[in-house]
Amino acid sequence: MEQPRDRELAQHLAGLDTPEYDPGFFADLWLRIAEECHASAEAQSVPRPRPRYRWFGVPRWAVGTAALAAFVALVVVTVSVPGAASALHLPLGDKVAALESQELQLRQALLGQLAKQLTTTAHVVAVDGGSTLSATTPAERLLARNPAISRLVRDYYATQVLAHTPGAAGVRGRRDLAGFFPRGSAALARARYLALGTLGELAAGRDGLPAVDPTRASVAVVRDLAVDSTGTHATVVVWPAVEYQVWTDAPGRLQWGHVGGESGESWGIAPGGAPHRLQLVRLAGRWLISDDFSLDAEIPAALRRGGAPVVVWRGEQRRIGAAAQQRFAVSTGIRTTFEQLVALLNQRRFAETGRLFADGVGLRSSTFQHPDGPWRLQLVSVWGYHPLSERAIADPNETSVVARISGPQDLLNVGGGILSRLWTLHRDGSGQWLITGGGAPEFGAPNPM
Amino acid sequence: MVKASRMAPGESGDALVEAVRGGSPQAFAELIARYDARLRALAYRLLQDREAMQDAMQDAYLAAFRGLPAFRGEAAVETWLYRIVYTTCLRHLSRRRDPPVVLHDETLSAPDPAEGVALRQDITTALAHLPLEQRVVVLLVDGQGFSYKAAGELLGVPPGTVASRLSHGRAELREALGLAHREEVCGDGAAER
Repeated sequence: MEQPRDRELAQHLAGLDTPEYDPGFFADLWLRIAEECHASAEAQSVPRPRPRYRWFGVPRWAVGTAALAAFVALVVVTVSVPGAASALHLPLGDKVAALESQELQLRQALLGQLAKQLTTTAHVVAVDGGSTLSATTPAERLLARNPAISRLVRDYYATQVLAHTPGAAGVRGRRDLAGFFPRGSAALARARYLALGTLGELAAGRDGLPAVDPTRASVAVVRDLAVDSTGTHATVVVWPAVEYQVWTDAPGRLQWGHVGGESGESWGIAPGGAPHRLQLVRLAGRWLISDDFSLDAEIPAALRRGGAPVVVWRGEQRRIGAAAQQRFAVSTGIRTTFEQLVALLNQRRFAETGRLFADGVGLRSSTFQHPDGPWRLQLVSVWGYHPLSERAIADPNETSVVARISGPQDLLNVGGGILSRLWTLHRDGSGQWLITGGGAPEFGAPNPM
Repeated sequence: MVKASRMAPGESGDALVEAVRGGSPQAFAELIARYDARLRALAYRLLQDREAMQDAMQDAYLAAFRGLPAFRGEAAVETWLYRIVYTTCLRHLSRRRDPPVVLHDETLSAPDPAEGVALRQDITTALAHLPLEQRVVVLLVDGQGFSYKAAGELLGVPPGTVASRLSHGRAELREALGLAHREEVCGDGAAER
């Protein structure tokens, strides 16, 4: 026979508290759901080329933003976000346009709500950091399935922004860095020296004015993630774009902007510096950073400025130097593109090289000093950039490579191009790698020339 | 059956479920908002770890969103959500390598001068030491007011099994808390679902 509740026990149980979610919980969840929505919408739509030069595909992110804003509007604090929900029911083409036009409004509404109730950096980052979770690369899907790692990355870079700040906020930020590393680790010491050596670099307000009561955000674009089979070790390649910030001014109004100015993109996310590789270890059920490594050649000097002992900054210098010498294999498709290019040129079929270039414009005979001369080219090698170099590109359909092609040094009428060795390629819808440019100067990363 | 008091004003649960089944994330957000606090409480007490609770709840909500188009309404949506959360927690527990160590309630980390703190810690610890199948029925029936039938549907066991597990769970909890043996049950009219 059924008995009613044990009232005494019920009272005890009712007195128990339940912890709240992390601030980024619903942002993460909602972007995962938006990804589902987008996947189903894509399945019903006519395939079309992905817009280039955007960090996040418009439909995916726009749907994510709308869904997230709709959720915030509904659950967190009541706020009017006109059209956000209705846009989700439009046909895909109209939906994209409608959502694009709403994006800024939605974002402002979202940040406005967050600013009202949240005071720490991590809260704002929770929204921005969540944007990486809506992407569909395998690494980002893996990241979405590892919310603890995504939270760690998000909060670590938010804390980094604070740690680079002068004054009391910086002291707090550098102290808080300890929460991300094993206690007393060399990695923690390096992170602190680095923050001290670059003090203020990440802390500028708009127009160079220091922000009042700043709540800054860091957008960390995750480029790669691997978790080992035991689930205790992971490697994350992150491109921190410490560019976006939110603050409140003296009268308490919410302000937001980009440290580096407007980039013209809807989200204005532009990576700064070189990517970092975080080695993670799971200790007592918690992910911690056992190493934070970047190829940025400025780091040893910054460590030195920050007061690091000589063994620390020299060790980092050697580590960066050794990594810069590494060569990385490229896919067969990329090598094939260059093999075909060289073959066509050796056969003087200049017009046909257009099919190997993304814009359809290949190398013309007029480019060459002696187009009908006896010269012959040879593909010597093709290799990829170190994934931590500034050449590393977040978009899996874009890549930069070094291709060595031997031939006479006076082959071309004008410099650059065929012998420049530095190339960028784009993978089209059929999977073919097409050349988008050559000869772009490398900046900051190891020079392969 | 979902209690009317939990409905949004002017909207029936069916209409909300229909909207979610139609693919409306906003309706799904409303559904989550309605039940999240109690679902989260159950997940936390089962998993005894805040991080694990968050991971499980994300997975559960995603599973619910995916599964809603196929939800036929044979059970109350509330029961259906609870079942998803419960099974997701079981899955997380089965993957867990290290046994949970719950000697301290994470929600009690802030200083609390109230004398109830010690008792809350006691019941947290006592709950953590209950076998999972007993803990879940205590949480559902005594903690959240489920009937034996509803709890049985949720857990996939007959009401008699719920009663048996509940009896053992209650006895152990009361002993751990130093409460007198329960001679008679106290009615609670609001408990039925």
